[in-house]
Amino acid sequence: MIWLAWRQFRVQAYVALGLLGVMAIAFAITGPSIVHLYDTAVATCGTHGDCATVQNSFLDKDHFLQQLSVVVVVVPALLGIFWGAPLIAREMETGTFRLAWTQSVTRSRWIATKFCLVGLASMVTAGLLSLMVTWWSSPFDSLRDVPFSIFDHRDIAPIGYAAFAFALGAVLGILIRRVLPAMAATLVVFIAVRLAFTNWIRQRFATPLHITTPFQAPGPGFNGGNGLPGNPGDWVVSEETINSSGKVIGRYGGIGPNGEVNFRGNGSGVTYFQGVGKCPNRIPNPPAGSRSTSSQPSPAVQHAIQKCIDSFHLRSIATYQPTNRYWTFQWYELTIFLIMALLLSAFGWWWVRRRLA
Amino acid sequence: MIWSAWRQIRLQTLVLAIATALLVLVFALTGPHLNHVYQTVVLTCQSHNDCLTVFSNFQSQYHLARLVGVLILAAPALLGVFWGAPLVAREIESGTFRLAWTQSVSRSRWLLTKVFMVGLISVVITGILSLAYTWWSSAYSQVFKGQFMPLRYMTHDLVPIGYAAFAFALGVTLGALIRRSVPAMAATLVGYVGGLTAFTVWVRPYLQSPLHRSSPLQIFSSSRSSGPGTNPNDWVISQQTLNSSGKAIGQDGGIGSTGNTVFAPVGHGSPGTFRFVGVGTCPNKFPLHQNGLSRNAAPSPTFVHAINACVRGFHLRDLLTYQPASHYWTFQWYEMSIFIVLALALIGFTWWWVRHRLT
Repeated sequence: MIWLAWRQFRVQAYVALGLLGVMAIAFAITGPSIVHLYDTAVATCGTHGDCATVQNSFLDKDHFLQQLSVVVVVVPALLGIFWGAPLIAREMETGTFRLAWTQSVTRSRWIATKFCLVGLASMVTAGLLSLMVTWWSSPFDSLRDVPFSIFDHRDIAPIGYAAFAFALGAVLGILIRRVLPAMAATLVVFIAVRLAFTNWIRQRFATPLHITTPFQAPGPGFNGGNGLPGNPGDWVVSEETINSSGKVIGRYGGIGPNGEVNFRGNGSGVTYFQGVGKCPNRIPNPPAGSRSTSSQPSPAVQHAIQKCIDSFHLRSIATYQPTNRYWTFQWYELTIFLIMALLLSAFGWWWVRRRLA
Repeated sequence: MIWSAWRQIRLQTLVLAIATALLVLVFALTGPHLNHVYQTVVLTCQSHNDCLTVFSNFQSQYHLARLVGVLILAAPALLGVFWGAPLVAREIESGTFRLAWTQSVSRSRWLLTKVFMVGLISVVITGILSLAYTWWSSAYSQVFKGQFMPLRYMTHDLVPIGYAAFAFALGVTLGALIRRSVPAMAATLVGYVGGLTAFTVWVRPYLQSPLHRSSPLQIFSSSRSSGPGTNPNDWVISQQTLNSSGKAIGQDGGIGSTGNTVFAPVGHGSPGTFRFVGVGTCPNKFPLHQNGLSRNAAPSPTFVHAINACVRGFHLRDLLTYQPASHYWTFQWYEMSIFIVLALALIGFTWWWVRHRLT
């Protein structure tokens, strides 16, 4: 049975292996020179005092191959579509299941073997791909230091995505019984689940931390950056502004749903902080309608604006996941997707045994 | 025949039409608000001195835009894979071609009717998506320059229409050649992505002969796209440093493959004599109180003066090769035409193949 399953699968396996090989060669050729450049130029830029230039030109290097890390996001979906969905659906559509399921091998063993073989192959493919990309990109990643924004195309999470996509495709194929609709449905459902995790579920894996700071006016001339946590690698989930009674009155580090910070004066020094109220103090040369376009506000104006802001006792609350939770989140994500894959597989197995004619 | 072709595709068309309509509805509902924010907040940010904050907030409101951009980039590929590839392959695979091609309608007419109906629907859907997206993100495009950036260029205006026609025709052709749906779908995906990538890297930069601007190399000015008269929407293809005999010796406003400029003292024997690494020994003397220097190290004015004199002495030139922003529409029309011609050629080949070679 294993031999038969491998025979039916080997062309696809060879194609995947070939593509992985091409990528491995491209990475093996370019990788060492990138590490070398990083060690010689970027790591030592502090002593030469030219970090900005060196880092920028380093990040521009091999731009095309850097973009290639998108394939880690795409490949699990493709595995689900091209390996998972046709696995059983094709047997049903062409009627070959009548022959296949009436041999000495029972249908439950037949389906378990196929699921294990192709499912494991999917996980290995995605895992190797992610490993290569993670290794090759590590100099760029450590320089950029935004681990959560590349969360789903590095390290171990893609293995879980591949397992889930494959099981999803196979089960949808069993339910829909036709190849093309099953492939389309796999794509749609997989994208929906991934988006749900990226946008809503992942940030709730662990209770986020909060940091509250007094609200500050953003922009040049001011301290800028409200209550953001110190580490640039942290994942800021939301940044809200609350007033003195604790009500949320703004997002994105400003006032209102769009995060604006506007002051509007009537020309005589009486100034309104839009969305909040009238400033208790007078602001010289109110910034609204000021003629100078390039220069930042004068120190007196800055001081007056900050005083106006302080008088309202606004606070900024940043909700964030600290960067040291990265690996916890990776394991959570992998585990959740693997469990979903196992549940789907078990359902498919049961459905074929009990329900399918 | 038209009725039969329509019957076979109407359910899928209906689903896609509903999805497209929903997306257009989302655009129509959110577009005016974004435009309002642009008019009231973004355009006036200069007078409030908070442009940086406003820009980054404005960008975060468009986090959906990147997603939709990817969708529009993917739509032609999906249509080619799910509609183009099975069009002929499925009939052959399931054996229904024996019935379909022996009716009163000849097989070439059968093919052309299906291809043009389904192909036209693909092109129209992609076109609607692209134009709606272009309209919706117009405020964003005014704030963030770079209309030749691949993800921007390939999802706006006309080119998605050409891509849709090409992907669909490629799918039909590969389906007729491979004769099996799933392998044909995989081949279509690989072929489309490979073709588009190759076009982006090797063909698009030279659709029109790029312009050149040559100026004396300057060390103490930020390099890329900041020269006189450079529009942020220009597409800088390369920036080379040429020596006096016209040979390229560096890039990105510097020397060598990294684009760095390094000045180092020659040695103990000749104090004040500096070497411009990768170019030669400077003819002039340098002030002695500093040992070495890399770019952006905030050197003293006398040092800057000495470096500039040294660089001038070698007559190096900074050659910028770029496509000006004014070429944008020419590029869009060219690229769309090229892909439509490719699509027609593929359809022509398939038509011949089905008539003369198949079975």
